Amino acid sequence: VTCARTSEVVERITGTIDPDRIADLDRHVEACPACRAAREELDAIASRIRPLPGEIDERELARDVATLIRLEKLPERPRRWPYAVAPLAVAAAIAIAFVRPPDDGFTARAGGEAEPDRWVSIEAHRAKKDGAGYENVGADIAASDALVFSVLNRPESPHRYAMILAFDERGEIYWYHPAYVDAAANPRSIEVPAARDPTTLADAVRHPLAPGWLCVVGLFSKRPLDVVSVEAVVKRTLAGRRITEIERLAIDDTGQHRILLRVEADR
Amino acid sequence: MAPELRLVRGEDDLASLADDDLMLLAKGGRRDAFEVLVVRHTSLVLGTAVRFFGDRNLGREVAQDVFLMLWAERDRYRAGGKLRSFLVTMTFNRCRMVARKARSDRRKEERLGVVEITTEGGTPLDAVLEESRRREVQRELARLPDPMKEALIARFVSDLSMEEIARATSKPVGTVKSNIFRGLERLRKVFGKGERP
Repeated sequence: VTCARTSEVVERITGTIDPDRIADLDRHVEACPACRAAREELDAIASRIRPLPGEIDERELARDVATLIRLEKLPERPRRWPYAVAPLAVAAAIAIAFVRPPDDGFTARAGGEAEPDRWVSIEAHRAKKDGAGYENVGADIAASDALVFSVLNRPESPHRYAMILAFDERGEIYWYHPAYVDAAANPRSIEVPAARDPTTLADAVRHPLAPGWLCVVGLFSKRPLDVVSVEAVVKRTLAGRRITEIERLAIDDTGQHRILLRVEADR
Repeated sequence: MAPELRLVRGEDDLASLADDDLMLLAKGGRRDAFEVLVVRHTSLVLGTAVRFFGDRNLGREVAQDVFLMLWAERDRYRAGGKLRSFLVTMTFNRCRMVARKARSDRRKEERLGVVEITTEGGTPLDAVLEESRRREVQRELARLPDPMKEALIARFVSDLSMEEIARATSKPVGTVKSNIFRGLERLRKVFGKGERP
C-alpha cells in the first residue's frame, strides 16, 4: 500500500514541514494505513539514530583534549595545497622576505625560526578575593586590577630577555615590565633566564585601563629591546586594524605570546 | 602602599560567553576559554563521529583530533555564530579521512561497523531487542553513502537546521533534504518491516 503523501511524513519527522500543514497531515496520517506505517517506521529509525540521554556526554574526552593541548601533542594537519602550488608559495615567501619596512630599529618578521613562539609564554594573575595568594585571571579583568605576571622561557628557547606590555583599542600602551614611569627614560627588556618552570615577576602593576579589549604581549628576545622602539612598532601595527585582529608584533627574531583580555569598568 | 586587588570574574563566567567570544579568547592564547568550548561541544562532535563509524572507539579518536585541530588552527576561524556547523564540517572531513585509511587497513576495517550485543543476565528481553535494533540501525547508517549518512547524522545527532547542514556539507538545502529523504527511505527498506511480531 502506498500513498502520495508519504514524503510529507518524512518532512514531519525531520522537522522541515511547513507548520501550517502539520494539523492537516496529522489528520491524514491517522486515517491512512500507509502513512501511519511510514510514520511509525521512520520514527523508530530516527529515534535509534539519535543519541540516548547520557550516551555521548563524555567529560573524559574534554579532559584528554585539554591535557594534549597543554602537552602540545597536536595531530598532523592534512595538506591544504596541491604539490604544484608549493613552488609558487616558496617564491612568494622569498619575495615577501625582501620587502623592507621603514627603519625603526627592527626588521619585519620573515622566515627565521619555524615556530619562534613555541618556547615562551606568559600568564597574568591577580590577588585572590580572600587575599590568600594569586590566581590566573579569567576572561575579564577590572579596569583597576593590578596584575602580576609569570613568564615561562623554556630551556630550548634562544631568548634571554623579555618585555610585557599591553595596548587597547584607543591605541594606549601600558608597560608592565620593564616599568616605564619616566618619559625621558628609555628602559630596556628585563632578563629572563631559561627554565623549565615559570618565573613570577615580583611587582603587581596597576594601570588605569579603559573598558574594552586589552591585548597583553609577552615579547621575548635574544638582545634587550627598548620601550620607545617597541612603542613605534605597536603604533604602526595598530594603525587601521582592530585590536582583536592583531596576532603578533612585526619584530624579527622574537618569541611572542599574546593574551586577549576584556576590561570591565569598575563597579 | 600595597595595591588594592579584587576578584572580578572567573572561570564560571567563561561558560556564559558565546562560542565566537570564546574562540576569540582562544585565539589570544586562552586555553581555559577553549576548554569551555570543548566541554560545550563534546556531545556534538563525539556523537557525530560515533554515528559516522558506528564505532565508539574510532569516533572518540576522531573527536579528539577535531578539537586538537581546531585549537591548532584557531586563527583560521572567522566569527559569525557558525561554530557548530564549522565543527560538524571538520568532523565529517576527519571521519572521511580516517575511513579512507581504515579501508586500506584490514584490521581497522574489521572494526568498522562491528556490533557487539551484550545480553547480560536478567536484562528484560524488550530492552535487549531494542538495543540490538539500535545497533543494527547505526550499523546500516554507517554503511550509507557519505552524503546521505552525513545529512542524517547532522540532522538527528548534531541537531543542525537544514541551512546549517547545507553550510556544513557544502550542498544546497534542496540536496540536503533529498539526501535525508533518500537515506531514511533506504533505512526504512532495511528496517521498515519485520520489527513487529
